[in-house]
Amino acid sequence: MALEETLSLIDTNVLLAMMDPEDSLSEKANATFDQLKEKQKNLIWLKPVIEETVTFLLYKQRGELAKTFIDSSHQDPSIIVRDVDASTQRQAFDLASRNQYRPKISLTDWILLFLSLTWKVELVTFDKQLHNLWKRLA
Amino acid sequence: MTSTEPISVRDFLRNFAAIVQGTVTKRYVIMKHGRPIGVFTPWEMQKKELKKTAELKPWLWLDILRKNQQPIGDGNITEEIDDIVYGIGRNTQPD
Repeated sequence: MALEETLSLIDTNVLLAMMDPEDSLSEKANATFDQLKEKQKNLIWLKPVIEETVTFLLYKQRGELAKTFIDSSHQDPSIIVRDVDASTQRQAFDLASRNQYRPKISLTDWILLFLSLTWKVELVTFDKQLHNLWKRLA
Repeated sequence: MTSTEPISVRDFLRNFAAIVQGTVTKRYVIMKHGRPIGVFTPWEMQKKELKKTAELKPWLWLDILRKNQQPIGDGNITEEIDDIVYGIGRNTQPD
């Protein structure tokens, strides 16, 4: 199996939907992670994704859950936490530019898209616009 | 806390017998002309670290977070994220 087939890039919405049992996509998120676990995938959590997740939890006054979320990723062999450097941001921005900045998605989303295309790894997201663009460009 | 000390090649070789006999309990960074060229780790320390790594259970994070599941959003987090994180709800300015 090629290395890229063992990796998946995870978007913020999938992580948050898994943590909220009342979310409309909770079941889908849990099933998604069960499948990834079954396939023994390793997950790439980008730092901007972690920041978005924690920001959302803090805004919703779920500080303890935010702390648990951060702690849970420490030293877990199935998670690769990856920072994003200025060059990657620039290249993601160039990708956005080539697509006339459409759809309207965040820089974090463009970075996820750029890295998933560059590394040829699966992008796991519930954002339909991002998913459709990824399917089109991959 | 693991103890780590720099040591010159000369001192490392001079104390080699004591180090390899297992009486040393710290890690040495071997220095040559002020630059690190290698690391010596006593086996007992290495064994402890390997055991610790082996005990790490993949995907434990998922079990931990599932035990802490709780209502967070308004039922549709995917739509809420941009609004909350960036203060720019996608639906506020249609394409």
